[in-house]
Amino acid sequence: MPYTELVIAVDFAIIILTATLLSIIAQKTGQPAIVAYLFTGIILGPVVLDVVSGSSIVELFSELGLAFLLFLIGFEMNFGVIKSILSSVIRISVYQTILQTILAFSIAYLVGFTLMETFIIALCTVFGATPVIVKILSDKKEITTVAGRINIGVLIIQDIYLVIILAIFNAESLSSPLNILISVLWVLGLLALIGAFAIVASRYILPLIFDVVVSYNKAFFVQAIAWGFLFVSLTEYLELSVEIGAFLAGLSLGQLRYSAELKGRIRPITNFFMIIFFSSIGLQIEGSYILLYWKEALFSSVVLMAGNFLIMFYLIRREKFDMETTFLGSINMIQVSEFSLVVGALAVSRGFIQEEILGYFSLMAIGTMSISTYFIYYNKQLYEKIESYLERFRLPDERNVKLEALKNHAIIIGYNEVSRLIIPLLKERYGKVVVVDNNPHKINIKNEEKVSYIFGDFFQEELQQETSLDEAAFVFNTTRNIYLNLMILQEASKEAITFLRAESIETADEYYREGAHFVIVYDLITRQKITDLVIAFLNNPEKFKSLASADIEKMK
Amino acid sequence: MFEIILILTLIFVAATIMLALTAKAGQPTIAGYIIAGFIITFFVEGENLVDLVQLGILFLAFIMGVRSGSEDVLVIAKNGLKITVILLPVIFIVAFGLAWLLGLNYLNATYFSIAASLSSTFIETDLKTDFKELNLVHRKLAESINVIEDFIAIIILLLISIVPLTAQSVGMSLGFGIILFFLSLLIRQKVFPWLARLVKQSSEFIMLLGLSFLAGFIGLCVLFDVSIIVGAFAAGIALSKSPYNIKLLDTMGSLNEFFSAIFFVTLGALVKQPDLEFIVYSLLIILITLIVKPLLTMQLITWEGYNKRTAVNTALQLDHVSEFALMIAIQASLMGFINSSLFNAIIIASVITFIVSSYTSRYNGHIFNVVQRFIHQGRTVHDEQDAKVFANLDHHVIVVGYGIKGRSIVKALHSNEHAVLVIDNDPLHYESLRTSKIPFLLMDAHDEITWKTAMVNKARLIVVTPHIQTVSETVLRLDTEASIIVSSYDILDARHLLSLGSAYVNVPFILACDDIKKAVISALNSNPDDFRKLNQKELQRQKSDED
Repeated sequence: MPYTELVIAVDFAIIILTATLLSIIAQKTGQPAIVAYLFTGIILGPVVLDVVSGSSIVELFSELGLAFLLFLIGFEMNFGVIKSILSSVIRISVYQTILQTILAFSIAYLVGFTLMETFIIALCTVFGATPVIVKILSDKKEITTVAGRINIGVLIIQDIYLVIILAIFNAESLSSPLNILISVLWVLGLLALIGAFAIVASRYILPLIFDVVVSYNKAFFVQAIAWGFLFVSLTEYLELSVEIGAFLAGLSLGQLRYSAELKGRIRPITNFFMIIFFSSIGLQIEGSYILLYWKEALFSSVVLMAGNFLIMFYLIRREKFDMETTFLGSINMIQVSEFSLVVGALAVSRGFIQEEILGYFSLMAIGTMSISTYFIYYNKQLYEKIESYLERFRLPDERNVKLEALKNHAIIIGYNEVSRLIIPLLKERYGKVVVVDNNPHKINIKNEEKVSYIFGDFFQEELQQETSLDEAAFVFNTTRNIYLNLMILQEASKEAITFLRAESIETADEYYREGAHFVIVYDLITRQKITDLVIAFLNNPEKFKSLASADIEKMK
Repeated sequence: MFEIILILTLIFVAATIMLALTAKAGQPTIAGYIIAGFIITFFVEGENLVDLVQLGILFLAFIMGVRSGSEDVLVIAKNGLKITVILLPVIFIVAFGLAWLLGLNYLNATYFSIAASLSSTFIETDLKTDFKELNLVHRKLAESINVIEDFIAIIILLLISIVPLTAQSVGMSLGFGIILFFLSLLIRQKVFPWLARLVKQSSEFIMLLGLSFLAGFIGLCVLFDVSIIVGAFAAGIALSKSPYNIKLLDTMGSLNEFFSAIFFVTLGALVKQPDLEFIVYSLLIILITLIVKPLLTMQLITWEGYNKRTAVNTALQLDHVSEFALMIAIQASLMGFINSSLFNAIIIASVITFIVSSYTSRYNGHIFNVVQRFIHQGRTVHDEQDAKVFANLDHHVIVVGYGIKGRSIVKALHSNEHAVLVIDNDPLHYESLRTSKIPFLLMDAHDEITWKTAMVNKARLIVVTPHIQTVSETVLRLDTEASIIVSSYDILDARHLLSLGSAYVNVPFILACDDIKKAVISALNSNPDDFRKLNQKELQRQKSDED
């Protein structure tokens, strides 16, 4: 039977297998996973083996990957936080774009490209690589740090700039300044409209439609995906940036009370698409002229990376952020984006530059992205190493916008009478208590206990991160799901005290063996009391009455 | 590219609307998805999505494998083994005969019989439900039948991909199946745990690992010309080892939700104009699924020693078309093997049975009253006990549920020389009850007949130990002088039970709150490690007490 015909793209299977193999090697040798994915594409693509060509499904998934990544990032952004750094971010991005364009222009001119080429190269190489930065930062849980937010802000504004450039390239006639102006205004107007819609929706529409389905697991998830796709389709239809559409969709969902839960559900899909996305970058690189400009590319990459860092460092410091934020915010943004390939290809098709120059772009993009991965990955360590040298740049009046991190706190999963009972005890000891519950109706609990409440299924890595499970000192799970309990035992810090719940003795025994400190088996704890009650009822009615009435009082 | 993104947008928007509606009406997800598919046929051709549908099938089969291979599922699987091994072949042969009479060829008759006989579904159940801890007998039994069906379905799939049907090719395929099975077992036991330990267990990496095995197993199936569903399922089994499967279920679960939405909606979009044949096929599938199969299931279950109530409740969990049948049908349709009327019939029948099934489970009490007289109760356990024991019961205590609490109460009553009678509907307690020489009824506490047999009018006290609200309410409505103690996990339910006249409600956390509070305080004030060891030892002590 010809099942063979039906197998979804063999390409796809080869990419997955290669990526797995390379990421095992990467993990064992301490390399970031992204480098493994990038090399997957390079090895399988035209540069080395030329066995995978990038079928339509690979193309679809990598496009979805970028959209989902930005969708997810939108979730991380909170209006309030954005507002507090918005003006700084806009100033940084505007100056960064100008300074970096000048830098890229000078470098390209210096290495001997023609004026037109230099101009295009400068336009193409100002962008930071959103997927690389965002992916690593969110893997490292640094998206929500101040530096992370500055990076995202700058990248989003760069995205808008990119859309404008694409619009200019696509404009009917480049010669008429009026045409250019019209297309730029058109793009900005549409983006503003969509943005306004997203904000209005997050206030008035989304809470309404999500409250309806929040209790229905699947409907809830599908609805969020549908919302994302609506924005992606809309922006794609209007030939705007899909990334910005996805970001705005995520941003509007991120303001909902349920965002942690949604994030957790969407993250794995995003990871899946991103693997394909990073691999597909390598697949796009033409092998024939990749080494044509290797000297120029090498020189430009080094100068550009150093220059990018210095520019960002200067600009963030100008905004008086603290030293660590300044350093991290700049070291994260030193690479050339894969967008340079897209814009470059467009420029080739319009006849502005020769095709060979794409080799220069490719080499620079792939090289700077791979190298910068290490810088982002080890940014903190690097900072610690050179912190003392940076002392002299400290400003007397730098801002300290430190965000509070959870540590040595208590986590309670499931909000019920038992949790209420122990919240005061834990609060007294640990100060901070986080309650996670997947019942949306409990989200409105009267917060007399002053605990943070998070809606969601604690299974998700996202929620475990959000509540800093690995930093918690005490974990109390009132639910009895065996998988959840085992997961907690695996993921919590070894020092954390864990209280779990089991239904049977066997399960309880298993939890103890896995390291639980106390396992609540209700039947075991209560069996003597209930037996005593029954016997008292038969033998000593007076005693029964006094025992029972106290409990019944509690129920009322 | 834009076109396909637009189609995906349509799919998800339609699915959102339908899911919100069906969820509000208490209807199953699958019905919502497929109906969403009917709606979008006006805008898109389902054929555009073949690749994504394939992925949907693969993820579904893969997740099924991961789920079916996990320990807790395997532990309960044995409960329903005997029943399924008789049930499935009988229905399959009946359906096949019918299909043959209708003039379907061997392959189409097989598709028809698969649709009519299989009922396993997991899309509605939470992937991380712990089957070992399910405390409703009929749920356990239904899940167990589901799991065994999955394995049998895979064998059927392996067999129908054999062409031509010669001894050599059958041997080849079966041989391949066996090798694949052992390969997945080997990976499950050795390779997967090793790989999972080899690298830091980020969920991204676990997902990549899952995808790789999926790709590898599918590759093998393509090489040997066997359905890729078999490969995906085997890959799932290979990665089902606990606790490494937890992260996999979580991350791949999300992917599965994404792609299965696309899969089921597209399924609906592929349905074409109905014709006469279509009506005949779908009516027959519906008839078998909703009437013939449940009745046979009920009968087989009671013959196994379960009571009629459990039998009816179990059967009503299984009266719908399996999602396996849908996966097989769509694959056959993509390859052009299946008669298009039959294909439409299977999809329509599945929507109808899914919707009806949600009602039959909801109104199981009414259905029980109607069908119970058609079921023959096999050997009932209390028949073996001395009838005089029941007749002589007077002033006795009836204990419902023979779990940890039930046993403790029974033991104390026994040593205080009170007359006791135990009611439990789980045949698993049969041996221990028989040897303890305590009168017992292996019957359902919801049934009037149970209480008649238990001489409830002469009882002094009834103690309900399971935390099942319907049982407590039934008991409180009994016409009896006896006092009643019930159990509930929920404080609102407990209040309701008190208002119905119970003498006491056992709400575990109220009884346990002092102990838990004490435990928390001592955990906060002692060396955590000593505290842990102390508790572990205490559990060991209680465990040996129980034995």
